[in-house]
Amino acid sequence: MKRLWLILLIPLLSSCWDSHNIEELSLVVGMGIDKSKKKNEIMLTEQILVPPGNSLQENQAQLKYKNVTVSAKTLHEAIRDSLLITNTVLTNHQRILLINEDVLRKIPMEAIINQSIRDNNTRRSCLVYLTKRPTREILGLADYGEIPSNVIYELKDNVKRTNKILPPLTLGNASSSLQSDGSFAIQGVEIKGKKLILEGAGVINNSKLVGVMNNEDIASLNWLNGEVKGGIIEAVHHGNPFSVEVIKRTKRKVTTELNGDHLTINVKVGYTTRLSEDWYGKENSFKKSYLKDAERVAEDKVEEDVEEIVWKLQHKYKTGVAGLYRYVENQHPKFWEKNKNKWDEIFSNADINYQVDLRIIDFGSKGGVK
Amino acid sequence: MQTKTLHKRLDQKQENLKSLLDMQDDVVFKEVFIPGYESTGLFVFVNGTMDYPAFNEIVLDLSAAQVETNHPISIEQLVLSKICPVREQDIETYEKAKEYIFDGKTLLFIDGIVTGYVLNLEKEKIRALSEPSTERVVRGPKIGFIESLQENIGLIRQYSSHPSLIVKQHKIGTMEKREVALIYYEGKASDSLIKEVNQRVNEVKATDLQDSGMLEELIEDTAFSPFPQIQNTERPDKVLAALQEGRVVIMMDGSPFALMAPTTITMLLQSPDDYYERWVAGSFLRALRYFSLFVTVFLSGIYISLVSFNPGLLPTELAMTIAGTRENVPFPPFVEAIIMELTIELLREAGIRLPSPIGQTVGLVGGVIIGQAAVQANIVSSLMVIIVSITTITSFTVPQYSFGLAFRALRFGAMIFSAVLGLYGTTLFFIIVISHLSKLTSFQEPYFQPMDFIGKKTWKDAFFRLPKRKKGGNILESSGRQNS
Amino acid sequence: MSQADGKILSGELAAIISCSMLGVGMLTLPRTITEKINSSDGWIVLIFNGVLISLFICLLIVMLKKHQVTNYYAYMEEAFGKWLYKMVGLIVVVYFTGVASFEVLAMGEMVRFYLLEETPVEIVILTMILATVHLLTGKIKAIAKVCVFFLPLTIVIVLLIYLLSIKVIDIKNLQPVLGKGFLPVMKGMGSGTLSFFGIELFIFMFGTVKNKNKVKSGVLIGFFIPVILYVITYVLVVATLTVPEVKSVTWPTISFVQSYEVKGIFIERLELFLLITWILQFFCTHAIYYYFAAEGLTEIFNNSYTTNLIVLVPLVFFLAKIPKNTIEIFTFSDILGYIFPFILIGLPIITFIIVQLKRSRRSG
Repeated sequence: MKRLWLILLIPLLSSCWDSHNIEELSLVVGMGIDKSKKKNEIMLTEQILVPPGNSLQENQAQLKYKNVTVSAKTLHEAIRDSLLITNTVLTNHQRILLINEDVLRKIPMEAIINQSIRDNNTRRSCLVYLTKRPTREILGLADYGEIPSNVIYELKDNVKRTNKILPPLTLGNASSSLQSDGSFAIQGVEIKGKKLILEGAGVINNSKLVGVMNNEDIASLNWLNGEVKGGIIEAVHHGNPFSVEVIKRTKRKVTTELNGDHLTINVKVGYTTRLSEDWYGKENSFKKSYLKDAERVAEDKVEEDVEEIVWKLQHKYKTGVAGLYRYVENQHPKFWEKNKNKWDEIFSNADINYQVDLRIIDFGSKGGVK
Repeated sequence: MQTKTLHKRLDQKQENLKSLLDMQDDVVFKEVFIPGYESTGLFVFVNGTMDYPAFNEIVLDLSAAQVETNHPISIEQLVLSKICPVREQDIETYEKAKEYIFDGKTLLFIDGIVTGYVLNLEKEKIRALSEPSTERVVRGPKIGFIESLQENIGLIRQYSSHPSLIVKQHKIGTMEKREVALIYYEGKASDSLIKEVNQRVNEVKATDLQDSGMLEELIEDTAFSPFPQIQNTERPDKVLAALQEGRVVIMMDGSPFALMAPTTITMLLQSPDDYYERWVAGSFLRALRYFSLFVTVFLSGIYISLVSFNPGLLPTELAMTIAGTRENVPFPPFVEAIIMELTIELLREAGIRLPSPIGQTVGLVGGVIIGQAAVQANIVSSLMVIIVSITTITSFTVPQYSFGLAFRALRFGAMIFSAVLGLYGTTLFFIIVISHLSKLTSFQEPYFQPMDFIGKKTWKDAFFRLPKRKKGGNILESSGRQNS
Repeated sequence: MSQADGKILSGELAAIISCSMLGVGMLTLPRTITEKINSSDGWIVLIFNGVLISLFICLLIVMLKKHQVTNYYAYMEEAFGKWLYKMVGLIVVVYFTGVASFEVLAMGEMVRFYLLEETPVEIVILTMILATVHLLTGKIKAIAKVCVFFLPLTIVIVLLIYLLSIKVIDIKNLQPVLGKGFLPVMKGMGSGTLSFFGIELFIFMFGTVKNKNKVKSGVLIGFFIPVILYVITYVLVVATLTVPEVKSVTWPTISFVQSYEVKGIFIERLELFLLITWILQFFCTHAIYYYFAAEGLTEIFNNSYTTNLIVLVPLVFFLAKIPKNTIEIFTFSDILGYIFPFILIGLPIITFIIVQLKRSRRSG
């Protein structure tokens, strides 16, 4: 037995097939996909981290990343083509995938993310964003030496503070959604004043981009989906604006009713909130009726917004981005089984009732009596 | 060889002995005149082994002897009465005489009497009892064994007065005979174990054994294994605890280290102060030791496999940091790790060999300066230095020095496997080590018993040390090894 | 407690059975079951299968106890006579060898895909086989100890990984429960047999257990540990990936772990731990089947155990080299899936009946 081990050791010592030193790899943190000038080709931009040198003398600002752009017919070919320019690519650390709107209008999203899902390296937790500008421009934005991919990646954490961001869409989520009903919203990224911002969103249906939404639409969609985790409701009372900050969701109930083929969806949500700002000079938050009035105004505002987005979804995009199909599937499995493929149509004709119940439980350290 | 019986006349005896011992310059012949009997006595001994004050007393006694007129006694009776406290044996032949002389005994011959008397005037050269240097505890007995077997047995007897404590002594060795003692509690140690130990000790064929470490290798189950299968200790409290557990303790003359068999891994990772301190601290430290064992063996291997095989499994920020520190290093992580690990091992070895004040300096200066310089010269990355330091520190937490040594050596195996097969190699090495441990036995008892960690009664004392009262007051009862 | 007597405790029996069941099954199980029933009710299938098999195990134990079986091969000889026994015994050995090489092959595939892309798979497979042989020279007792050590390690790590996944789970994906009625669940009953591979081994270990009265509890505990893990895995994986997605990925359990990260700790990517523990489990499963193949050969041909260990090395290796691609690997597992019920159900019942008849005739 002992000799057998020795024989084994000889080939082992002679080669280390998979050994690549980390500093010789190109760590990709972000990827962008644009349409190429050449026909039927896509243009891939890879954002590669450049490790900081450990020499202490150099004080000059060093760029922390470099971008590599190549065009090819498929994504994988593009990645392989990029090896002509840079070290072996390692996509395990890829955090974001940016997709240009033009690409999604032409090529199905399923095809675009196919390689990333199939690949053993790219993680399913990588985030997907939509851009109006070429992704190359966005990834090339040198903002005080920050790495654009990381900036975008970290902006997602603000979802608890504002409701104008969609909950982060991971590659895995996108793939799952594409496999099931294929309609969801995707957060957009823009450049404004040489800064990266999260703005707008795209609506994907059947793997194709069917429309775009603005920030207000995103907020409304979040309200409809029950994804609001924080953020502000702006409304006007007594001729003056005031704002209410969302604290916590207390309930969400979705019931679906079937009447033949006609669907009615009732959504009831409740939130606790805080009166966070009030421009009205005669504010009296110590009075119960004052708060009740404010609550009612805010509720009306939310319901109005939601109504608007529901109209848009039903008539403009004609697709049920809201994920409400889950409730239909659960509550009427037989109906769903039969009409799975007609869901967009059914959704467009459905009645959607949205009711929100806001309770101001807190008005901060000032109640303001004059 | 002559087996001549002793002559009756003293001058003949002296002549014969002298011719027998002609080469030995340190044999001393001293004559003493016994005036009362008009007779002469002859002392023969090896210079330096003898206790002079005791010798003087006997000489004085003999030379002052007078013939009592009332009750006249023969010279033989007189001598016997005078040497009674130190007399060990009588001899008849020159051969025997020679043997006893070199055994450190003093011989007394009287003119006109054939028989020679063997006197035990030996002065044992022993150091004073002191704190054991290899196994220090913060709290607990501070006494340690010394090189004398009789003293050590005495020490054990002092703390254990139970009559069922059995001490069996053997002489082993083909040329130099060494006294070896087997100590156990009758009724606690199983008969098969006692038989096994007896048999193995008796089968030992060695010309000489200087330390119990040599004996250990000759009686253990698998000499090829890197792991010590017999525990050793300098501490009487540890020996007493082992006896209570039903184990057999083997002690050898000339070695302060007692051997305890059988041994399991859990025992090697227990330190006596686990039991002297409060249970929370004891459990914490014990769990820490298991963790540090793992770190010692596998940390460098994991580093190698993550950095040069699967950087994708590192957190992104950490991957950046590592890539940054390795930017200008010309070697692959494996070479880097080998360089640093070998340097540290060399420093450690040098530190032990040198006199202790210099040793410490070398360790400190070498570690700090080489580490710092190597990083600045871009020979190794700074993270590697940290990793090597951690693995070195953790390797010292093992209470049993020889056990720690095994793991230090295994670390290089883990590094080689990782360098060839990456994370799979590291896992494979882990599997091989565990397989080896599972097959290993110590005196036919399993060496590694994972059941201890999940068994109903045993887990409370394997990975943790839960309070004694929870275990029915008897902390050392090991359920598996009981005879009953 | 001596190492040499070759008897195992009931706790060790449980660990061996658990370890032999936890293998490639756990990594592909969500897909194989969901494919068959096409809904998220796979966990019901698992529970039903588990309960059915455990009832059958109880029956088997009663049968084995009644005939006081100490060595299953001798028992088979009693039933089939000398030559037929050798035939049947060889089929059993071939099956064990097949499973052993399938497990090592599946592990090679996993390692190739996730850890070592360019290293020849042969090296991975061969090193694993040799490590197994190294362990197996210690016979059943050594295997038992390795299993007892690896099993809690696996359970703790896997549960920890699962616990950290709470954030990405969407329980809505599991609803509706029994949305398509009970029929698809019934249809799926037979699926996922691959996950139950390993339970049949207890028949062959029956004689080696020290305390015969504890066999039943040992086997059942050993059986339900993996079944519970399977149910948890299925629920979490489907709840995270959704039914259509689960059907489309090759290694759903690993994909599931890859779909989240734990921020703020040194260990951000948990698939590292899943892969390592699963290599350990693959090793255990492989080693156990390998052992029973070698042991079976020893019983049938009365030759030395060590020789058989070495003879099996090339056999297992080349058997693992036969499938050329992923599809053929799954075909391989399907073939084994057909023999499995014969070993677990057919063989013991037939043997029991024949022996019962023979014994009653002799006495009557």
